[in-house]
Amino acid sequence: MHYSRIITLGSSALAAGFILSAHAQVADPTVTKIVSAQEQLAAAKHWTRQRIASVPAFPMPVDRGSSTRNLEADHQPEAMGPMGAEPAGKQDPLAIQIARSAYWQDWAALEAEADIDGMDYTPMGTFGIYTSYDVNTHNALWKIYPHIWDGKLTFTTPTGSASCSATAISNNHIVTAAHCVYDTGANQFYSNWAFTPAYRNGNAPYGTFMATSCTVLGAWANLSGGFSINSWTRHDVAVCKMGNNSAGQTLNAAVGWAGRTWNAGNNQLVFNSGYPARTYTDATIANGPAQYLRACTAESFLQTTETLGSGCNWGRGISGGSWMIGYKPLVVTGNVNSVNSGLFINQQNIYGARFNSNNIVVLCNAVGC
Amino acid sequence: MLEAVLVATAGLVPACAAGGGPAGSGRPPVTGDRRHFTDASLGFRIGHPVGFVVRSQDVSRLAFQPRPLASIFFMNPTMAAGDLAGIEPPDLQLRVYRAEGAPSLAAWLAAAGFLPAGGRSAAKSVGRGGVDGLEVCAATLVAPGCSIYVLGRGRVYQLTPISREGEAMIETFELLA
Repeated sequence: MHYSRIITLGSSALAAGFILSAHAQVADPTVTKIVSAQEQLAAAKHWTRQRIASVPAFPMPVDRGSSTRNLEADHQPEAMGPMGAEPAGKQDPLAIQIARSAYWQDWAALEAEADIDGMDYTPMGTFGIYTSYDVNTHNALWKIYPHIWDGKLTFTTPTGSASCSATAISNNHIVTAAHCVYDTGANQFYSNWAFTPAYRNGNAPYGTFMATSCTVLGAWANLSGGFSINSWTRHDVAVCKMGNNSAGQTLNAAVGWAGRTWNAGNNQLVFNSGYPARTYTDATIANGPAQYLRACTAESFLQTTETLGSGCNWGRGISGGSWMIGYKPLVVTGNVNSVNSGLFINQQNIYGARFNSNNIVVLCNAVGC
Repeated sequence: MLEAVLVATAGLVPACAAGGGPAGSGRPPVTGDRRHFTDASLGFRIGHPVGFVVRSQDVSRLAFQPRPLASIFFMNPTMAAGDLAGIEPPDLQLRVYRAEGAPSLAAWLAAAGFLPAGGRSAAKSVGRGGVDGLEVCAATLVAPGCSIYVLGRGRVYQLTPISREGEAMIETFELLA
């Protein structure tokens, strides 16, 4: 249906402000300008690559009035009708080939251009603020860096089979949470740790790697009593040495490994990922609990001594999943800065040890990560 | 470690054929979109979605105490066909423990070391289906993290769901007369 009132105007009429006066009187829901063939030709001639590159950014409108929310709006009906959607689409199968041929200079320049790294702003640390993602629920995301470094860690506890999350690091180790490895209540290690990188709903695309040893800090093993984020989490880090998969590959040969950072600032932009089965309210996830990699991005903040928090909505199962700084999809970069330790039920934050000289450095020095 | 995990995987056998383990009731009756798994020797019955795969775990390989009499995995078909079947937590894991002479369920859980630090306050009374029990949740973010324990017939039944299907199955759990 076409409700538009179509206005065909020359550039001189536009310059005279004709469109503004016409718009003020239009009752139609849309207003359209038809661009003539001459105008299209003129625009194409005008916008050389140099002009496109050098044109100044158009100023963003700034409202200098009050930013007070209209809370009454919350009580007004939201729906304007049934929810609608249109699916996304793929490019033509030959599109890249055609583009590469037609715009070969641009492709050559782009492929030769160096990556730009570094963030030009300083995170402040945000409590309960985050963006949540389903990651390898999407077919395009399960086999790319850095997601293939993340995996599901399964093991046996006295009360049954259990799962956490972990990340491949150097020298065929994984890093995870100590509480996925050692039971402080019973003063014993769990057993049968199996790490499956890029695990996705029953499938192990790079195989499964069995632990040959797992190591926690003495400070963790000596804890007793009830789990406390404010006093336990700073020690809640473990590393495990992994054997080969059934294809004879080492973990690092199969998927590579994440970097790691220690003694970094408390406020970082983190990509927090793992295999949760439940949410922060302890409600079971409907679609594939503990079957898919899910993530939050947030700015980490200092909770207490050597303990960081970052906003997230995931829960049980995400234990041991890594907080990565410098996350970039498809790129072999990103350093683990913490692992998920615990949360306060119904609060949208997860807490983890800040990697430092007293946890990850001690562990990796001991086992040779 | 490698051997133990592989044994655990290979140790999953169809529950109705597990020698010495839980004996199934032959062809289970169909109720709507559910079937019922009955184990007369262990004294319970539970419904599960049609298509779910039921496997018995070889408990002789479990290193921890107390060792259960039986451990049964109820898995959706995707999980059952996956590479981690028998390793990862199933939709519902049902373990049965010997508990003759236990003065109470809470006392048995405490003696078994199944109560997290915090003791009795960490267990919550729940009524699911036709049975009453105690729900115990771990203090950590390990999955699945929460189990429901039921005491009856001189046994403790531990039901540990990880999915909503597993949680729904608990509603159908019943002890046999």
